[in-house]
Amino acid sequence: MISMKAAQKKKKKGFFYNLYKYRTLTLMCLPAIIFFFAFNYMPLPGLWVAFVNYNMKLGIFKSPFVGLKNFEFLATSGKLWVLTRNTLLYNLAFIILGNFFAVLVAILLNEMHSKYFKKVSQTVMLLPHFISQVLIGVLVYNLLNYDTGLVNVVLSGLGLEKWQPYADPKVWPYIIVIVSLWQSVGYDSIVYFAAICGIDAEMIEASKMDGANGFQRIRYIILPSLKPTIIILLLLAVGGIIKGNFGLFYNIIGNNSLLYETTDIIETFVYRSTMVEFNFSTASAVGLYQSIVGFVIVLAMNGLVKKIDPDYSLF
Amino acid sequence: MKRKVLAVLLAASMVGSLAACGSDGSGSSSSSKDGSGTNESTGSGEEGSDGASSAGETSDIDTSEHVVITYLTVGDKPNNTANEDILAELNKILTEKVNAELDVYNIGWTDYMSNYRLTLTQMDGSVDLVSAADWMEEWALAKDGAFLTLTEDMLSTYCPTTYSEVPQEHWDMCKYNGEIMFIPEDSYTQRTNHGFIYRLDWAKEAGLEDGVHSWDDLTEYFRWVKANKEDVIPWDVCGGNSVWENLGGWLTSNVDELLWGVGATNTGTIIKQTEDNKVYNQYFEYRDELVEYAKLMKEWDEIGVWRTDVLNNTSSDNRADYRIGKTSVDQHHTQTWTDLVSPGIANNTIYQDDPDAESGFFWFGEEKNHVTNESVVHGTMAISAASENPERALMVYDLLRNDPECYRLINYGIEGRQYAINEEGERYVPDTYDKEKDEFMFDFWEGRTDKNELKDARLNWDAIDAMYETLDAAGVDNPYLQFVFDQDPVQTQISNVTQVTDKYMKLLTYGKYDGTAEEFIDKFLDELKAAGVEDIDNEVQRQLNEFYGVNETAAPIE
Repeated sequence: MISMKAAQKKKKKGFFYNLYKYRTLTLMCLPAIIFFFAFNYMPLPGLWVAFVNYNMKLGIFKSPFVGLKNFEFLATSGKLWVLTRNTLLYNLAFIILGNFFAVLVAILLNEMHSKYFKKVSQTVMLLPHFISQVLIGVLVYNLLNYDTGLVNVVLSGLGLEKWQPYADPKVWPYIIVIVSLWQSVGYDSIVYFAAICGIDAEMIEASKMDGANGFQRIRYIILPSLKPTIIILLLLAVGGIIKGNFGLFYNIIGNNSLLYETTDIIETFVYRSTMVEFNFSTASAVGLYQSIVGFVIVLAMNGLVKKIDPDYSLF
Repeated sequence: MKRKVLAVLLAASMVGSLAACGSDGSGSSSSSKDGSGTNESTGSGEEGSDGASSAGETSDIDTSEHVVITYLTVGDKPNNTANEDILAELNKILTEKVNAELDVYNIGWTDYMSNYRLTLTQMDGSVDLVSAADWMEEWALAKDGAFLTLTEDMLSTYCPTTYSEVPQEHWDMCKYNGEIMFIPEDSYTQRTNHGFIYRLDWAKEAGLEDGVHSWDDLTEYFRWVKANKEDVIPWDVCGGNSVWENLGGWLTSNVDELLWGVGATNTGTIIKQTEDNKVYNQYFEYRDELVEYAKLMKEWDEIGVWRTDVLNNTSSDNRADYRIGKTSVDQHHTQTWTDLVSPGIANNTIYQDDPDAESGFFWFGEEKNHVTNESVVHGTMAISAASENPERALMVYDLLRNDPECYRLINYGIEGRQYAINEEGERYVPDTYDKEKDEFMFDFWEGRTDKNELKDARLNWDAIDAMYETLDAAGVDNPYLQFVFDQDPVQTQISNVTQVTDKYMKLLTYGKYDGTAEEFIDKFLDELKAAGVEDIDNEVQRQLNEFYGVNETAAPIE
C-alpha cells in the first residue's frame, strides 16, 4: 500500500518528470511504442470508413457519410446473436480448456525425471504450433472426409459403418476445440513451465522436508505460485474473446454451408459477405463492433479482478 | 510503478490490436489517401487531354515523354521468360509508334477476385489498363469509382480506330450513369453460354446414341459412368463451383421462356422474355421447378456424381481431369468446349489415349432451344481511375486491338516460337514449341477482334461451326443490358439475401439437405422473404421504370 501511495505521489509530479526519470526504461520501450503507434493508432482514423458509403475515387474521408447504415446489415441479418454467441463460446472453450491443459502439461513436464523423455515430448507437443492453418485444414479433411479419409478407411476396413462428420453440424464444436487444443497447448505450456521453474526451490525443498507428497506439493506450492501467471494470461486472452481465429475456422469449414449453424463466427461471416460483395464499409463496421465489445469486456474483466484482488489487475 | 507502466502498455497492446482488427479499411486508408493525391494528377492529365483533343489530329498528340503502361490481367503466368520475350518484341513497336511500353501486372487465379479488387482499390497509379468483365463485377467497380470515365473526346482522339469501329449502341451498353466506362470486346465471335461438356463416346456406350440432350439424358449418363468407369468421378466439382450456372441452366431448360437476371446478382430478380419490364423473383415464381431441381440433385448426390464431401473439396481441378479422362463432364461454356472438343490441343490427352474419344456439349436450354446471345460487356477494357497516363494507355490499347502485328504478339506470341502460320493462313503450334519454355499468358480477353484473328488450325472446326450455327439460330438478345442497378438503397437487404442464397444454393445444387425437397425449398423461400428479397425486387422495378419510362409493379411474392 505504501508503495502504491508513493507511486501516486510520483505521478503527481507530472508526465514529463516521469518521462525524464524513467528515460532508460522508456527508451527500451520505444520500439514497441513506435510499433503500436504506427500499426494500431495511426490507422484509427480509418475507422471512419465504417460510417461512409465508400467510393474509391473519393477516398475514405470524402465519401458520403451514411451514419449507422453499415451496421444495419449486422443487426437485420438476424445473425448477430448467433455469431457473437458462437465466437464467444468457442473462445471461452479455447481459453478455459487451453489454459487448463497448458497448466496440466507444464506440471506433468515438471514432474518428469527422464530429461530425454521430457525434451522429446515437449518438442512433439510444440510442433503443431508451427503448422500453418491451411495445412491443418487439409489434415482434418484428409482424416475425416467420407470417401478417402483415414478414419473412414479404417472404419470400413474394420467392417464398421462409415462416419460422415462433414454433414453433421453437431460434432464440429468438439472437433474444432480438439484441433485448437492440439495446436496450442504445447506452446502455451512453455510460459507455465517457465513460471514453475521460477518457483523458489527452497519452498519445494521445505515442503519435501515437511513430508508433502507429489500431489500436495502441486496443490499447495505450485498451483498457488502459478496463480498470478494464470490470471495475467487469462486477462490477456479475454481481451481477444470476441475475436475469432479466422484461419482455423475458415480452413477447416471452408464453404460447407451445412455446418455454418455451429461453426460460423464473426470473422468467417464477414469474410463471406465481403468476398461476395467486397464492401469495405460493412466489413469495417463489423470490425468496429468487435473492437468495442472486446474493449468493454477487457474493462469489465479488469474491474472484476481489481475488486477481488487489486494486485492482479492490469490497470 | 514499473508494473503500472507494463500494465498500461499491455492494455494498450490489447486494445490496440483490437483496433487494428477493427480497422479493416485501415490498410486502404493510407493508400487511398495516396490515391487522392494521384487523382489530382489524373485530373490534370484530363485537362491535358482536353487541350489535345481540341487540337484534333492524332499526330498532334504529345508523346515526347516515354511512359510505361501497366496492364492488369488475371491468369497464372507460366514460370518462364516467354512473357518477357514477347513484351520485349511488342515494346519495340509500341515505343516506335506511341513512345510507350507495356508492362503486365498479373493476378493469379487463386483468390483472383479479392486480389483484383484490392489492387484496384489501392488507387496508387500502379495499373493503367484494367481487364474488366461482367463476371468480375465491372459494374459494381464502375459504381465504386474504380474506373476512369472515358469521354467521347478522349476515345476519338486517343483510340480512334476502336472508337470508329465500335457501333454507338455498343458504346451505350458500356455506360454507367450516361458515361462510358469500358471499351467492349464486341467484334470477337465467342459464346459463353453454359452447359455440360461430356464424353460423347461414353454416352454412346451408355445407350444414348445421339448423345446427351437433356437433364434426363445426363442423369442416365452419370449413372452409366458411375457403374462402368471405376476410376472416374462422374463430375469432380469443387464445393461452391458451378452452383449458379447449374441452377440457371436448369431454369433455362425447364421454363417455357428465357429469363434475364436484372439488378443485383444472385438475388433471383428476373424479367421474363414475354413480359416486358415486369420484375419477378425466380425463386418464388418457379418454386415447383426449384423443387424438381432439388430432387434431381439429391438423386445425383445419391448416385455419387460428385465426392461425398463435395462442399469441403477444394483440391480437384475438374477441367484438367477431364482432359486426361478422370472425370466425365466439365460444366462450363461453349468457348471452353471448343478447346476440349479438339484433339489438336496437346493437353487433351484423352484423344491420344483413346482414338474413339469424342466430346459433346449439352447446352443449357437445348431442350427448348433457349439461349441468350453474348453480351458485348462480357469482357471489356477499362482504365484505372488512378492511371497517370490514361491517354497513352488508350493509344496502346488501340494498337493492341487494331494493329495486326501487336495483336498477334499479345494474343499468339512470337511467330515461329509460340505459333506459326500454314498455307491456308491458319495458325498452329510449331513442333519446336516447348511448353516449359514457350508458354505465355496475357489473357488479352478485352480486345480480341475477328478482323485480326487467325483461325486456330488445332481446333475441331467442323464440330464448332455446327455448334455456332445451332446457337446462332436459337440466340436471342438480352434487351436489358443497358440497365445498371444502383444497389445502395437496398444494400442491407442485398447483403442479407446474399447470405441466404450463399448458404442454400450450395446445399441445393449438391443435394445436401435433410427432409423432403418441398420442405427444404419452403424453408429457403421463408428465409429469403425474411431477408427482404421483396424490397430488392421492388427497388429494381422502381429503377427500371425510371430508366425505361414505364410503369410496372413487381410481381408479389408468396
